[in-house]
Amino acid sequence: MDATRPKVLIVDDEPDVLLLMRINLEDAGFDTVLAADGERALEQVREHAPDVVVLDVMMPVLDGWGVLEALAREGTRPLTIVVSAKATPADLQRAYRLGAAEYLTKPVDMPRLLAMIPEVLGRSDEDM
Amino acid sequence: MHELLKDEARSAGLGRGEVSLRAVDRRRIELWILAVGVLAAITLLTLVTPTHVPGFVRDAPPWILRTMLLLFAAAFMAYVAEKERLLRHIQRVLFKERAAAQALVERADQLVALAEGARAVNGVLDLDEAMARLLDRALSMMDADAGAVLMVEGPYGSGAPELLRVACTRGDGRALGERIGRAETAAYVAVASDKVARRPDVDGAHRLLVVPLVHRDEMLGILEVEGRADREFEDYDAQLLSVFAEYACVGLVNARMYDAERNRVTELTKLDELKSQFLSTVSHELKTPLTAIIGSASVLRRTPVDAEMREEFLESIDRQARRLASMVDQLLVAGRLAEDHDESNEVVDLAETARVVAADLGLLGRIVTIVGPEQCRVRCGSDHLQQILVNLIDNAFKYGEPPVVVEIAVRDAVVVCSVLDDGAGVAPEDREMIFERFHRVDASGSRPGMGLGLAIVRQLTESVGGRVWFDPRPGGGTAVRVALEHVPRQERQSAPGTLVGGGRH
Repeated sequence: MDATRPKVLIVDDEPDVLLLMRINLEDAGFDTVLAADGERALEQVREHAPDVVVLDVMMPVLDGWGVLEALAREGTRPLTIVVSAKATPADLQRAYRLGAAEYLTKPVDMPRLLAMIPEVLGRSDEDM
Repeated sequence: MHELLKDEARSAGLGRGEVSLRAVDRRRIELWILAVGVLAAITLLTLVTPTHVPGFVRDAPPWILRTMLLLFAAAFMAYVAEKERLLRHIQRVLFKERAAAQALVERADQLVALAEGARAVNGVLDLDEAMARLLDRALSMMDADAGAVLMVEGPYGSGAPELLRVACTRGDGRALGERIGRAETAAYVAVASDKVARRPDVDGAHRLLVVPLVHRDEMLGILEVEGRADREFEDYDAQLLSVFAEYACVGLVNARMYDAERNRVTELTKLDELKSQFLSTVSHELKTPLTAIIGSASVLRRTPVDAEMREEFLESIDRQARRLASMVDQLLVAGRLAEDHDESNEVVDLAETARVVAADLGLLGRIVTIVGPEQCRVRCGSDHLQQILVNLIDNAFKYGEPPVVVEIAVRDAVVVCSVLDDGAGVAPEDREMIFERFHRVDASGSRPGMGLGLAIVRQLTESVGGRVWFDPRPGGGTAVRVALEHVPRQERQSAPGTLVGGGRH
């Protein structure tokens, strides 16, 4: 794997969404790691330490909120883009409070996501 | 009355326009003074023979004189007695008159209270408040402190009421009301609709007034007033309370109409909200597979992919297109349900249908186990039953966890088909709501679905006289159960049974 390529973890319980995101992200020059549920997502974070996590909210076993909480507890805070079907002010607030960097509504607008990832990465560089 | 007494008054020596108790008293005093005076004079005359009298009197024997005096005294006493009788008669009549006038004033006061009470009831739009006012006014009018208002339950204007509900009570009226509400509805309604205001078969019946609350021949309820221990109601009281109840009913009906209207508005507002929510859900739901399809197609077009990857994308497009098609189907079904499509007379094999549905789903990798008899005929259209099963199983996978089991159990006249899953279950407060059209347990919309699946199941089930409900499973998970009419093979020719009315067989 090319060390300069940012690593993105995609978490979604729908295989079609995973596939589509993976292809698009890889095509745009990112390395991808996949997870179909929250538990698996946490394992992948520990194992691969991704730069960015694209996180679906509603999933079996452990949902997106649970993943965010667990990550906060563990102290590992990868840049997270929360993806959810609904964007009520309450949902947005919850996501940002739990440490999310961005919020996207489903269905995912792919060009927007592709533009967002470098933007989020750039933001973290400024922070550092 | 004074006209009637005119002759008596003149005979009794009362002056014109002076027929009053005071005039009678004065006249009696005069009469008695006169009587005493005359009697004293006669006594004196009998004892002392006067000196200056005409000669024939002096010459007559003394017994003649005494007899004459006695006769005169007797005649005079008769005169006094007659006058006294007349005066007493007049006095009695005048007393009665005074009492009657007093009663009239009281009645007038009651009528004023009645009108005012009815106005007070008519002045509020809140049904509970109107009933409370009705009862309070009735109690104060009847000078009582216990009573109850009982309202007819069920749809308004639906003929004979089956049940009376205690709507409002004062004092120990609750005990009273509940006694009536429970056991004696029919008797009370008979009593009340007869407009008989008293209850005949209770100890101290004269202490209890029961009047109907009727508006334009519609029985709204019953008003009951219990008098204090020393109080006996008269017919007049009963009539008064009836009239009051009649007036006050207008207010009750108004309040009820307002109430119903308000509820309707709330309902419509809610439905409107659900519809716009539904609209946004539908467009979102349709957009999700579309995005996937468009995305996959564009990847295929611009990115060089190997054969395996290409196959994967084609499969994805196919899957999402099917998903889209099934959503459109659901929408169509939901739309068609609005039209009355009668499949209530068809008979179909539930076990067979379940096997077909399970086989279809098995192709999609969704494994469904079927438990139950090999054959099981129920009254339901084949398409309907298939739709019911598909929706229930779909939900089990979508909102629950596998393994998903379809369990068929025959219970005499009914077949219960349960779809079981191992998911988190459904919160008690949601168990009824989830069958509502457009209602979704997860309001955030993060789970796929349009909130139509279970509403369709319910509508289909009920259209063939069946029932659908939720059961939490002891070990977690959910059971959605559908009860349909069982049609055993040998009874194929017989008329439809208990669950469904009417048939073509």
